[in-house]
Amino acid sequence: MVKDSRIYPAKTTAIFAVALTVFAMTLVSPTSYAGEMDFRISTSRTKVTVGTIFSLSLLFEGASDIPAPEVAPIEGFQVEYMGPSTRITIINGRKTRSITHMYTLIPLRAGSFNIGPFSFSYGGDTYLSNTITVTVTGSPAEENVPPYPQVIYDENERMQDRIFLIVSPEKTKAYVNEIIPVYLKLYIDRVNIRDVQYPEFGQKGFMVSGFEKPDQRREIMNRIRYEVVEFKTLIYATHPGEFFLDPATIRCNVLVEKKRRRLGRFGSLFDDDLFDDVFAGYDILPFEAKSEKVPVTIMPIPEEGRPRNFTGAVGEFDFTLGASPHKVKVGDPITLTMKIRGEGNFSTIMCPEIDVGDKFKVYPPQVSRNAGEKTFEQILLPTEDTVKEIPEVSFSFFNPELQQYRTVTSGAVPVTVVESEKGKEALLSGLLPFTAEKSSGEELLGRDIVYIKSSPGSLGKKGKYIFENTVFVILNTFGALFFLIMLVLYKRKERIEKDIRYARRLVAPKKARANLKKAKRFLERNYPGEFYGSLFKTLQSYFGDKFHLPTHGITITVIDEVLKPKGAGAEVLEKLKSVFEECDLVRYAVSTFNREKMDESFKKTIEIIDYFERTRL
Amino acid sequence: MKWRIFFIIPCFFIPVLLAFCAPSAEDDFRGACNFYEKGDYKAAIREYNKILDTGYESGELYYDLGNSYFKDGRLGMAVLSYERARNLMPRDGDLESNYRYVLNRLRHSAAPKPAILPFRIFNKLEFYFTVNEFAVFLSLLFFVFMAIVLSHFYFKWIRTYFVVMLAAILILFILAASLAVSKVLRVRREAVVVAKEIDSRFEPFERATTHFKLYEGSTVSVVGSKPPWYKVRRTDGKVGWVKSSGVERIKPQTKKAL
Repeated sequence: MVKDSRIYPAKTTAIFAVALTVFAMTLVSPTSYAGEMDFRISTSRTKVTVGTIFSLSLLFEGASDIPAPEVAPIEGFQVEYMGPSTRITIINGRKTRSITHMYTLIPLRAGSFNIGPFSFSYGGDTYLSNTITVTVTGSPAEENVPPYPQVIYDENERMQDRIFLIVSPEKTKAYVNEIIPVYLKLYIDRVNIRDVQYPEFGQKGFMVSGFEKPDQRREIMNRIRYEVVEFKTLIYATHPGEFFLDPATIRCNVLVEKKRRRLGRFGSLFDDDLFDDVFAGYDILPFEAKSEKVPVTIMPIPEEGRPRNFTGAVGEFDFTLGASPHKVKVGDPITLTMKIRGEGNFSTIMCPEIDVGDKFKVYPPQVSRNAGEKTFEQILLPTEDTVKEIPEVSFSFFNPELQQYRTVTSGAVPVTVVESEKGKEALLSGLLPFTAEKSSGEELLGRDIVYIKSSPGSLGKKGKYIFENTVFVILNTFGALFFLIMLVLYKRKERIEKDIRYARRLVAPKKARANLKKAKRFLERNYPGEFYGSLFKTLQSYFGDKFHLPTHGITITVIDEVLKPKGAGAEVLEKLKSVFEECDLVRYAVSTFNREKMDESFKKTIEIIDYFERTRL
Repeated sequence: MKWRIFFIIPCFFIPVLLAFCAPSAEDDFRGACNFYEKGDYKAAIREYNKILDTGYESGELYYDLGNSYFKDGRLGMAVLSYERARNLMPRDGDLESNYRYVLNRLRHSAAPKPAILPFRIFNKLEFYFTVNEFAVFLSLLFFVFMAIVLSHFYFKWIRTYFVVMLAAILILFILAASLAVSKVLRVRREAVVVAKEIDSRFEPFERATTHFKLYEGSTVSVVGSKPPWYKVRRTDGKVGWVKSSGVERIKPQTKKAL
């Protein structure tokens, strides 16, 4: 018995959680409800074989609290109730509730059966559903197939007998370009499978579309009830001949209970412990189901009766033509919209030809495609104001069911074109941004290219821009540097003018150097009185300017009052003290100061000034 | 040692001598023009390309080369040469006339996406000047900015209009810089289809499905590459992969730029 056929990855749980949250939020949001109720029925399939289980849905739109109606026995089917499913839809703030009651139907015999109409009473009103016709065809195991057969299974049967793939095209004889729906059914019997991958179904000589979301159901075949995963694709052949659809492959993982690993010949291949730690209690065994080749006959599209404008469209289509705007000036664009709707092969539908002569310039069409519809939008530019209409356009296709060609004609579309010199000039001079076709001879009459230049002009290095030129870069860099220097100089000058403290501090070393020069001259002449007077003046002037103090007030007391609190070094302060004392002493005992002592005082003064210049106080 | 000087000194004069003796670009250009006048367009193309191979270019050179390609029937190459010329002399009337004329002779792949008015003005301005003109203009603006900033320290009347002038310079600078960057990037990306017709595919493989067709002379933007394929964007915004041999870039790319 199949317990669970998980074909979707686990991450869908997260998506489901998000969807559930959104759903919960919508329940509490203050939106209005639609008032009317609608009752419809639908089935998952309209063509089935005997024993194939399919679903019947009873949809009640406009209410979500309707209990499951008791469905009367349906002729030819066994009916089982599955459960309800509710849905809330919000469009532009308008909330619509609906409830669907699901039933499974098991066809018991072949034939054509009508399901419905069902009637249902709710809130005093009676609602009547639509009717669906289901065609049940016979199967090899049609007769006396019980809905739930009891089969005794052989323990030694192969895994290939329990999981297998059948490819069944809806028709095995078709025309070139005719769409053939192909069903790939993965039959699963009493095996847990997971991670079912989309089939590999590459076919030579056929164009294959992508697979739709697979359908899951139960199906009885040869008295065995299978879980079936059905993939559907559409194919069409590009040329006639006798072909075989190559085998399709579906890969999946099979869960095998460890206790019951013995699965005959298949099981013996995987008796090692390769997958033991992956899934507790189970072994996960990769499995590849491969189908048989299927013969297909492709017939050529008949030559007889083929319309001139037939380009390979096969199916049954409707064709409409529209144009907008209807009133334009010469040279203004008109958008021609050609819509092809219907059933068939849209890939081979080409844009219908428009025969507008030279009254219009025609641009290449823009193509868009939706389900069951292909649209061609073509820009036309009227070249003269005599245009009264866009002529009719025909579209031809081959109907494979009727086996005959059909041509649908639409139009003509009346348009009004008025004179416009600007538009006409633009058209004739080719100044429009683009043109679709090579210009006609008339358009180019009397025109040619302008003659060549006689001088090569100023030759520059190929592919190099001027900003990559070194001279250009240097010039700009120098300009920027000059600007910065000028800016700094101006700012300095401005500060000197406005900030006296800064100006005095700036000038202090300069003045000290000048005063020391003077003192040195006295030193060289050996004039102790003048020398020490000059040294004293130097120190007074320096410290006065440096610390923005009155120059004449600078004496030995400056050491304790100003320099010590600023954190000047003890050694340098001692030197300064001794120089100040010597300057005082020289007034009373000038004879005690010889050359050697003067040299020492001079040196000390230089060291003091040097210290205060280097140290930031 | 002294004898070496007899070898070294002439070495300084060799380039000067060669410059005098070798035929100049002017002469080569005149030679190419003569071929054109005689109707030998293939020879003219060869001669114009020879000048380009020396590593120098000019709008006039590309213009004449474009004319030669056109007369030789190679319309895609003519469009490419005119596009190159338009980047060097965008306001040349003769060039614009010839370029439009050749475009009119070609089948084009798709209509360009319509742009809104501000973008149309921006595109016109971008087209109207060369990258070098933008660079010089930006440099001038820079010097004017510096001159105004320095002058306002010394001239009172400048201070009155200082903010207005700086704002005007800043706006002009941003606009010119945007135009210049946009033009450099556009020129770097753009390419011209030189093959008669090429398929643009969904993937860079020979067996990939054709997405759309490109015809000779169409301009596309190269938005990526996987040798020997270019990922190109058509004027209507559609993107696909084409063989690089079918298209020629307007500004030849270095390996790094690719």
